[in-house]
Amino acid sequence: MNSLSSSLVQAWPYAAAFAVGALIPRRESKFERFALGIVGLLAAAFISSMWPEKAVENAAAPPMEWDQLLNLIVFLPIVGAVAILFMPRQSPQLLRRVTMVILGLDFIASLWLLKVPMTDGWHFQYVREWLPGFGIRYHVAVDGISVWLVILSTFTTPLAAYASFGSLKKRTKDLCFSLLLLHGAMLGAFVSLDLFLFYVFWELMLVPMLILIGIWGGVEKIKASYKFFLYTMAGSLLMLAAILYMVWTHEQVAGYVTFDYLALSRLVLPQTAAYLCFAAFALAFLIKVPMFPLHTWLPDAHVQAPTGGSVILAAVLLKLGTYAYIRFCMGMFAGPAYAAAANLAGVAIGGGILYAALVAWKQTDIKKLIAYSSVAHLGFVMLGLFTGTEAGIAGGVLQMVNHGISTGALFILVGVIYDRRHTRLVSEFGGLAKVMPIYTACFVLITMSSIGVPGTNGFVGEFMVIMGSFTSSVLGSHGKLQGGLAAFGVILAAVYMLSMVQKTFFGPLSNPKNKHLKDLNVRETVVLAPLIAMVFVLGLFPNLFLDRMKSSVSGVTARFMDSTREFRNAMDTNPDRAVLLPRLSGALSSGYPEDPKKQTEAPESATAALDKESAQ
Amino acid sequence: MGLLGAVMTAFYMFRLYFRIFHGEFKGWKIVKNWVDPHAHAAHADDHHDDHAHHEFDPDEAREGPTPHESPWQMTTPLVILAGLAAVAGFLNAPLLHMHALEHWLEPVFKLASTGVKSIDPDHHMMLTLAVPGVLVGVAGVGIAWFFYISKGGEPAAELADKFPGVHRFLMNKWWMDEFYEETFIGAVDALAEFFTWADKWIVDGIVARLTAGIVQVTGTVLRYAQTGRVQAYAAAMVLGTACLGWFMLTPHASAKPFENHRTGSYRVEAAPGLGYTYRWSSKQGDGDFKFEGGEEFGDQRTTSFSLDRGAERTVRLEVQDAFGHHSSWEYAVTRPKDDRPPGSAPANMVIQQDDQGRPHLVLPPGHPAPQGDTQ
Repeated sequence: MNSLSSSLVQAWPYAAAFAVGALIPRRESKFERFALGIVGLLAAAFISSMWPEKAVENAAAPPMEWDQLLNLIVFLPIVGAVAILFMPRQSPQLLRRVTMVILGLDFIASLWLLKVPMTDGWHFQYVREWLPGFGIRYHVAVDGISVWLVILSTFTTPLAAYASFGSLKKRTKDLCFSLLLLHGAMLGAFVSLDLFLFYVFWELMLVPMLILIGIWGGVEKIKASYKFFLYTMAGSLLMLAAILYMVWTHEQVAGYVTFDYLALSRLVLPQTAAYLCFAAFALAFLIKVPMFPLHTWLPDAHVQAPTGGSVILAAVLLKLGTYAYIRFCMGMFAGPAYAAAANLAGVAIGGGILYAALVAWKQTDIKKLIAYSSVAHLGFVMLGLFTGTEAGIAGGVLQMVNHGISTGALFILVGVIYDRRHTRLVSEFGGLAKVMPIYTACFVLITMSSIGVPGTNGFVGEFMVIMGSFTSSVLGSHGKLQGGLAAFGVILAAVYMLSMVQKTFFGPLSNPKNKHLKDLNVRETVVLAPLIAMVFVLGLFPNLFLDRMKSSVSGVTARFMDSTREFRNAMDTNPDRAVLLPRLSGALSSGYPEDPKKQTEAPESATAALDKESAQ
Repeated sequence: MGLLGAVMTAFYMFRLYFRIFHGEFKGWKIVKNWVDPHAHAAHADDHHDDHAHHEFDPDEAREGPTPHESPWQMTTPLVILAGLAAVAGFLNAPLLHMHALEHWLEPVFKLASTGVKSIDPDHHMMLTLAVPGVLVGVAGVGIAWFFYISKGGEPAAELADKFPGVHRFLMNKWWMDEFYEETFIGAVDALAEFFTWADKWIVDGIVARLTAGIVQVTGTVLRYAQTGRVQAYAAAMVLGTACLGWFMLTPHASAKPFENHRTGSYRVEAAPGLGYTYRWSSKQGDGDFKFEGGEEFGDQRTTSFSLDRGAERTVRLEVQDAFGHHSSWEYAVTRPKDDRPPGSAPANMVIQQDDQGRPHLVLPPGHPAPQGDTQ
């Protein structure tokens, strides 16, 4: 067998996937068929290149990590956003194409992150001094948890951008600028390991999102964007205060100033300060998630935001809260996080999974319903993180990706109907299945994935979270009850999603305005196809994802438990004193600032002077 | 109980069969060569009356064609299933010595067999069980025939008339759906309604509306202070200056103590002030205050002393300003008995005594040296 025919034989799964995508759907446009074929091909290529056997090969000879890769991923969109400012406002087509090319390149670049076996520790690390006088450095790196969130955001943002270019026709330049800047800021927040850098990206995200809601939003867009901004800002200012306090304490104990996450995570604060700083950080993140009772900004923001904004908000922006909770709250305040976990898990179940599900059931606006379902789903994610078990945390991270895909797709689907009818009230619809069969099929499919039907992505994550809460030692004796209640929340998800689907798509087609609605157009199909493909890739092959996060998740879990123990020891010895624990070694230590070679001649404190006096 | 169930199964299945396939046709009035009057309209505009078929008047006498056999797509699977249903029972019939499926489910029940005791794997019982089994089946069919066929269904109608309550109870499936509707669904529904209301007015009301209201009210109140009238600003300024002046013109004694319990040396440093002079006095334990450096007010701003273990001392500072007003401040200190109070150093730091008996802090290797207060 010569090489050509053997390569042809090897290519048959991809060819088959392409053929399935291109030939089976009954679509008119050639472009659309081609695009669907490409989606099928890429999904097949993704699965086969991520298959565990390949990963083992890679582990034997790990490919080199190009340390500029993260800089490229983060700054390509930001530089692109600045470049957009110098392009002519009069040619929106050019602006859109440039934006799509930049986002596409960013996605391709981010796939490179998967080439490296994600062992515990930091990868693609890049450290440079930024403001050395204040101990602030430019420090970015990914691990097995953040890599998935980076890829989730580079995957969904181009789709959201492509979808919004279909419906938003005015002020294209501003739109492209905001999308690119938002994208860069989100990626930056996912990869930064310096608290100052993280804070900069965290705040930078707010501005483009505010613009997206405030300019292209619905009737009450100004109110919604204010609410979004104020809620998030209130939390993040408390976080800033906590960061400054930690840096100051660290300087007192260690003798040098640094904002580095790894250095500060070895600091054990005095008891009261530890709990207050944890509360400040957790508040900032839980507002972002959002968790009951701080969730009311989300429905307003979602209802008013344009489709693209909603997709990014749901798919990526909310994940920053959950991601930051693992990284910063559990990483730096393990003791307080451990102590608060059981109660917070109760809030996540009672206020998130159950309460938000019931409120979602009673919503008349489809978008508001999906917004409340987001609160419920993120309750699952947070529950997974609070369990402090490997299954729970891995399930939580997987559920973040799942929620990004399912809810992103749901918002795109709601945007489709909104573009046609300019309303989203369930009562306006009914029997849509008769006029929009393909749309209905997509909607029902994504609904199933959102509910968590086995075989779709939602099932795996929810299952792991519930399993984690059953076995959790952090939740203690309530773990089983909480796992049971969380399982009950899955039923409620079916209640609110299916009742909405039933009222919207089935039954008689009573409203005459709906009788001539067009089914999905080319753009909408092309946007939805990759999301639907990922629903099944994640649902059927969750191991492709779990394998790459496994060692990081178990590392994070183990360090969480260790740090909790160390925190308790320190509190038993002296609860009023800050302590510096020894630094971690190996791949985890990299990027710590160096200890000062010689202790600088600090001005003598009064006590030290007194000691000298008394010695004389 | 099992026999009763078998009778009833046979009864209801044959009731179904007799009612559908025997007796008179009750569906609609049969018209030969009947043509669907809706067919044309539905074809011309099939968007329109999709629901027309669902909404018919049940009392209206409807007409239709002669009922016909179902198409082959439906018949074929039915024939296959019927054939298997008729034959499959014999696959494992001991009476015919066929054992094709005997071990089929064994792997599944392997674990269960440890917990559950099998009463009769005995083959002698087979015939004694099979004969009544067939008989009760026949009995069920017979009862169904009596009720629904023999007198044109009269006994069934009579029975329903005789026990209307039972009939209604069974017709409504034991009211099971209604029961769930009223209890579980109703409760969850009410809860959801309440939560939706609470989310808007309590959660959002407190977290967003109330805080926004407080900010707004504060702003409104403060706005009245910003009238833009110079006289009002001047009056506020005069008042503020007067208060500040009053504060400046009265003495405020205050000092900051520096303690070192390990060495037993203490120092107190008075806060400075415009035109202040100071006088220090102190007492040991419960004794009287004794002046240090004379009764006169002087320029001495600090005082230091050392204490033995467990000793107690109170220091009093008096301040006189340029106008001769006085103010005083007191500070009491006890040196702890134990040189090293529990937990004065972190767990991983070890305190050793050096050769002069002074404490000396040993840090773990690689630990950056701490600054300041421990030495």
